Formats: sequence, C-alpha cells, structure tokens
Amino acid sequence: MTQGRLDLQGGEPLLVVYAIDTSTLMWLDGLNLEPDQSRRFEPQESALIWDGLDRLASQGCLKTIRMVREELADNDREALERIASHGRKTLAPAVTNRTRAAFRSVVAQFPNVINPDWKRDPADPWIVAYAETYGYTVITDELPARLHASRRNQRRTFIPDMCDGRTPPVPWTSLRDLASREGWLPA
Amino acid sequence: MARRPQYVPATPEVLEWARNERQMSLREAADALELTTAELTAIEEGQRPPTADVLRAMMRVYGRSESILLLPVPPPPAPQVTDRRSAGRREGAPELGTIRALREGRLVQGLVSELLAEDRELLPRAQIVAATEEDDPEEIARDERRRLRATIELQRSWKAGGPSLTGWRALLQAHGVIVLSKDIPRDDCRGVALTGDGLVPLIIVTTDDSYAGRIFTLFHEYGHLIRRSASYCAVGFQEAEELERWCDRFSAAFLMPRADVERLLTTQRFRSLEPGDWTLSDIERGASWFRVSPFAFARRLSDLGLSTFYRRHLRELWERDRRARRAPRPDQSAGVPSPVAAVREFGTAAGGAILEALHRGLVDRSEFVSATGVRGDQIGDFEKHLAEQRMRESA
Repeated sequence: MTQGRLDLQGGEPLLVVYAIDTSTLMWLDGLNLEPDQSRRFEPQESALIWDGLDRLASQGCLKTIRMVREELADNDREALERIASHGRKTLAPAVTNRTRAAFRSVVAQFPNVINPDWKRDPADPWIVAYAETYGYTVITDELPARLHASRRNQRRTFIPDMCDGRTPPVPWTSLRDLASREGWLPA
Repeated sequence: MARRPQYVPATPEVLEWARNERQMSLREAADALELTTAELTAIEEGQRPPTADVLRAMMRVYGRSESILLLPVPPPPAPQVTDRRSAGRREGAPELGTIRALREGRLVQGLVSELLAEDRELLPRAQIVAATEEDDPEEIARDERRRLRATIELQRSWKAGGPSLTGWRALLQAHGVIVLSKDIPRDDCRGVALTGDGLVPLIIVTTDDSYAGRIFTLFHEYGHLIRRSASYCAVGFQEAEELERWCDRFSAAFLMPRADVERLLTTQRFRSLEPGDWTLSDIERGASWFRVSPFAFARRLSDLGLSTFYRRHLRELWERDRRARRAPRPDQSAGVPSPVAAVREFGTAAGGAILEALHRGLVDRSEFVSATGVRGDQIGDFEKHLAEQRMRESA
C-alpha cells in the first residue's frame, strides 16, 4: 500500500480516491503558464509527479470525469492518453441522477460557474458534484478567489471555493501538496 | 424485458425556456423529440419529469448541453436590442442565428469590458462623440472622419472589397471599438451595435453580405453608437425609423464626404454630367472611387441633389444590390481552420485583448476556449494568425 493514500480516521484505514481537474494537468505539462510566462512545475518535477499519478491511476485511485476528458482532448491530449493507458479504472462512473442532483445543487449555490451560452458541459461544477457523490478528493491547482491578485478573478468562483462552500465541505488538495505528502518529490 | 425508463431531475421552466430559445412551438418540438404535444406539455408543466432518453433528445433538438438543461432556474433573459439593421427591414423577433450572434456578442463585450476594468492598456479607450436627432449627420460624420484621421487618401489606398473592409475595421478597432464579423442571416439582420454603461462599444457585421454592403453597415452601426441607441430598448416605430434614417445618412456622409463627392464631380469623367445624364457605368465608376456599392453612391448623389439616377433606377439598383449579397464570397468559413476563422470573427481588437488577458492570467484557457471557440491546442495558431492580420491591417 502506498503511504499517504491512507487516511486514518478513528483508527480505520480509508482509501482516498482522487478526481483530477483539467487545468491542473495543464499546469503540470507546462500548457498553462504563470502571468510571467514561467511554468508552475519544472520539467523534472513534472516527470516525478506524473510517475506518482501513474501509480495512483494503476491502483484505481485516480479518476477523471467525462467533462475533464473532453477538455483534455482539446487541450492536453498527451495527459489524456497517459491517464487512459491505465484503462477503465480511471473513468469516473457515467452521470446518474445522484450526480445530476449534486450538480444542480452546486450550480444553484454558485450560479456564476456556468454560462447559458457555453456549448459544452463545464467540468468544474461537475467535478465537485462527482466528488460529493462518490467521496472523491479533488486535485486542483486553482486558487480560491480570495488569493487571486486580479479584481476580476476575486469575483469569480473557483473549484476550491465550491469545495469549501459545500456542506459538508468537499476535500480538495493542490497537486504540489499531494506530491509532497505522497513523497513523490525529493524533500 | 423492457428497460425501465430513468427519470431525470430537471426544472420544467428550464426545459420550456430552452424550447423557446430555440424558437420552436410545442408541436414542432414534440415532433422533433418524438413525443406527443400532450407528453411535452406534461413535462413542461411539471406533471412528470423527462426520461434520460428525452433529455438526450432535448440536448440535440434544442442545441443545449446537459448542464444547461439541468439548471435549477432558467437563465436571465438576454438584453433586448432594437437597433438591428436588416436587409428586409423586418419587424418582430430576430431569427435564431441573430439571437445567437447577439448573445455571443454580449459575451465578448462583457468579457472584454471586465478585462479592460482590470487592465486599461488591453485596448485603446473609445471616445465616441454623442449625438441626438437634432444633430446634422453630415457634420458629425465630417468631425468623426477628422477625429479618426480617415483621410480620403487613406480610404482610396485600400483596394475595393475585402481590403477596404479590413481597413475600416482596423481603423475603428484602433479607436477602441470592437468589430465582430458573424454569420447572421442577412435578411434578418445585417448588423448590430451594442453599447451600455461601462461596456466597450461593439459592432457586429454579418458575413452574409457583399463587402461594400458590410462597410456601409459598419458605419450605420457606428452611427448607432454615436446615438447611443442600443439603450433605446423600447423605442416606438416612428422613433426607430428616424434613428435608422439618421444612421443611414451618417454612414453615407462618412463614407462619401460631400466635399469629396463634389471634388470628384469636377474631374473630367463627371464634370459635364447633368443630374439626368448619369448612366449605370458612371455610377459604378463613382462607387468604385469611394469603395462603396453603386446603390449607396447613387443614393448619396440623389440626397445631395446631384443625380436623378437613384430615383429613376431604384428597383434596378436594389435588385443589383441583392444579387451582390447573394453571390458566393471567397471568405466563406467552410473548411477554414478554426484559428483563422476566429481571427476573422473576433478581429484584432477583441481577439488581441482576450489573448493578452490569457497571457496575463486574467482569463484561463477554458474561458478563452469558451469565448473564442479556438481549441486549447490551437492557441498558438490563433496567435500566429492574429499577428499576421495585424501586419495586414498596419500595412
């Protein structure tokens, strides 16, 4: 068993299953850049973190929802193929009425995360809905709105805001924190 | 054993909203969804939920994603715009393509306006003069040409057709006006002007028209921005007509300044022509000089009392104009890669502002993709084509 994927709650081991967000993988692959055009993860770090994600995926502990896979198909095909190479165990279940109900509740609480003119399903509220339904921990490198420098972004709602705003809160972690906890990166 | 239908939690008002947005009657929608009218009515009145299969059919028929159909409440109505310029002067509700263009225009306008509030340098500040119906469109047009530094030499330096449209569009964009080019049905709407407090001024021009027609529309809509008329949401018919005439006169005066028309008429080709002498060939020559349509030039001469050709050949000119609109155009978007099409659609102002905002972290890639329709892996191509278009415009 991999250390770090076992949370101890009341002495009982609990297997943590993660659902990863599109932009996090793009940060990892250097496809999203910081405002100064620098990478959030150096290529060497990316390689090590990818190895860790591969291990999670092979154990069925890393899930991608359909909406994330659709976004990856357009934005980061290599990441999609790498995760998909681990087979069906990386796929989150298809949408059910439980996830639909959770989704409706999320967008009722955070109406600005969806625009009626968008042609595709937005992944962010769905990933929170899935995490709420199936007990996933969300991996996201998005920052909560309050930590953004730009006034515009301070008014928006990001995945951590949705996770923290739910009752009970949906657990989430940044990829770097996860990598540190799991020991994927040298200390 | 037959599969038990799975019912889906959806809000009846949202499903009704989606059908209305598609401009479908209950019967039309029921037929397309392979339901009876009574079954669809029952769903929309909340007497029974849709099945998963019906929801999927609604996604296809209404052109909406599952996320939208699952919204807990219908979205707020889109802002009404009454100042569309149509070839057929249509009354009533706009067609679906026009509504979509309006919504997309509003989306871009809202996004760019938010970005400008964040970073003023993304786009030049638009300083459009304000006018009322009391103001003479001739004078306003003359002053605006001066302010925009639109000399007749500059106008004549552009070849007729696409280069001329590109030149005019670039000039307005350089002064902070966003000009979008969208595939709107020409008989429903040739152009739209969108303005409002705190919003960057935006014009949409249809691609479904001749270049000369689009140029005239561009400045007709610019006239609307000058009149601040997108805020005239409840104008009466007479008032709307006055406004349309004012904007037509503004566009004509802007594109064919009186002094330059009179100067042209002193040249050898035209100097001996009396108002009743003008032939179609003369009209075409003059129109070509200003890079406008023969219809627009003939009407301008008529308004200035310099030719009777327009009044004598109105129907012929009108038919000619319609045929020009219907001719296949080389810039149809079919088969054009999406980054190229997006640069054409958004222009260098809106496209450049949104791209710059992406680089500065003000928008993320998914927002960029939603706003422009450019796939994430094509952003580099979009940037390249945008740079090429900027070079063409500056040339």
